[in-house]
Amino acid sequence: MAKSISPRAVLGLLLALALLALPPVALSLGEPFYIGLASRMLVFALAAMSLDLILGYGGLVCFGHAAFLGVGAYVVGILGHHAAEQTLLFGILPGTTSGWVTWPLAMLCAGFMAFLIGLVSVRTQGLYFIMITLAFAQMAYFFFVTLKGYGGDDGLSLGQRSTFSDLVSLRDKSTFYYVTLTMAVLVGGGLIKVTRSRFGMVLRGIKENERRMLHIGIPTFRYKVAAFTLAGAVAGLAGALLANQANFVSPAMMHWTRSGELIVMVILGGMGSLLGPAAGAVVFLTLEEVLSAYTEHWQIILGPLLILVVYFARQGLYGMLPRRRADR
Amino acid sequence: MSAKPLLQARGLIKTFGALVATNNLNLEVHPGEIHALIGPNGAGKSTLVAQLAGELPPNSGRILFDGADVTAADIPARVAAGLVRSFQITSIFPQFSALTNVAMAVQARAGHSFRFWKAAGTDPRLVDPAMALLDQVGLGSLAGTPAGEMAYGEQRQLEIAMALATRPRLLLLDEPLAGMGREDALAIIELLRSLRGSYTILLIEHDMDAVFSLADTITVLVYGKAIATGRPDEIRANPEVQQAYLGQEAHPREVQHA
Repeated sequence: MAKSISPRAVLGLLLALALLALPPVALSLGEPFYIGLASRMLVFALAAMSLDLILGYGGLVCFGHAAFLGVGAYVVGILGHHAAEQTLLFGILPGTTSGWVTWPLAMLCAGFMAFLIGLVSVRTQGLYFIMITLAFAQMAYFFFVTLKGYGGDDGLSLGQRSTFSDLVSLRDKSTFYYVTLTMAVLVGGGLIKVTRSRFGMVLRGIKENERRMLHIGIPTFRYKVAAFTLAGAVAGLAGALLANQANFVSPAMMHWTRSGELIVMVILGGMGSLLGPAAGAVVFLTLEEVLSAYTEHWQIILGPLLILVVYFARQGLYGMLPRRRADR
Repeated sequence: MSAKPLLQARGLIKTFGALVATNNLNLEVHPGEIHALIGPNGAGKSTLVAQLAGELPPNSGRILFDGADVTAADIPARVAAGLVRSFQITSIFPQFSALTNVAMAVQARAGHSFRFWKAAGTDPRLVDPAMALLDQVGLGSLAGTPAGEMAYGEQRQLEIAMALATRPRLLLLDEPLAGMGREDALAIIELLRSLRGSYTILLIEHDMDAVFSLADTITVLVYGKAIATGRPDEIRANPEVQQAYLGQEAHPREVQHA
């Protein structure tokens, strides 16, 4: 019996080819700018997927996710700053531009911060949860604003991008793009695996009916904190990538409007599908790029679009894809 | 009864403002029995279940499960010990399939869920026991149906399957027949009868036919107090019970008829 090829598989294959071919095509068209833009899209795709893990699967509407992005970015920025100035952090730690050190550290710091915030916030529900996560994110925002040594409000320029021994050089746009693509695919794929695991089932169950979860004997609190921590760590990695992509870090990265944009990406793409929010990030940044060429108030067009999606396509962009045969 | 009680409530008191919902209540449920808890509306049955299951803390008194004091234990800890409740108002995972609903409960019993990699949906250690339980409650053919789309009676059966999946030692069944048609109710009564001996059951139920045909022991609750405990025939003949029911609304015949 010949196995028929599903429309989803065809779509996936085309997408993979397009992603791989993007840098050479952009270069041959004389438009290297698009390589940077695509890298940025991939970074936000990763961030949106990390938010989707807690928002779409766990039902935790985190309104401060950009804080984890920002902390990840600042880990790269601050260590890079000390490396360039040849000074010590806290008077003991030398700076470094090695991505072997800074990227995992960005995940660790953002994850640890998410763990602490999670311990406090996931005890609350609904609006209170939204408010608490927002409050913590604003605290982080103003904390970095007050760090005059690291540029305060103006932010901090990266002297150079992260280095990986002599393995790859991220100075090259195309190389950076491929590294970002690899990260997004590996980590995003990992997240998809996680959502199908026992842990992922617990998250879905909490979103569906948390009271029932308790009464089948699952102590939900610890799983929510764990999911929050994991999502924070992945957002931290996205932050480290974002710092490299922009060659710059600033408190604006963790402003609450940025957290709002991440939520928009998730809803636009389709909550609880991971691939949807990744696509949502791409669409969001495309709209920003295209529309802001016409008007700086480009969100005046995004707004109605979002309303349409919420009203007519609850599952977002992902819901418009052809369904798999056994999707439940 | 000679055996040590599996569940004991001692001097349980719960008040809401001036209302005494549970009034110095003592209750013993013995291993293997089906123990029914009846009483007029407002007698404090639901409040008692909530305290036994760990949702409401009593003002005073103690709850012992298998000899251990669980008064301060949280809900998952009580479930882990084997004290599991079902709900009067159906509480399931509506978007999951019937099979996934039960598999979720099997997973809860299979140790911690900090397992991030292997797919849960195809894990035979979860799916196989879940399927067996669905067959046991008569829902085998609906395994793939989203729970939210099942008929009301089927959802009630599913809820019992979920409770069984947690491998309870004592099942607190809160009005399992609530809102059911006669036919569905008979199916559940048969199901409960089939559980006799395998599980200890504390059954809260308004359907007196069901109570008197299933229960080994009946406790009558009035104004938060257990006014009588005994075998069904003893309860039927108890003047105090008749008085309590006669004094209330329109239930006098329920007790006599049953």
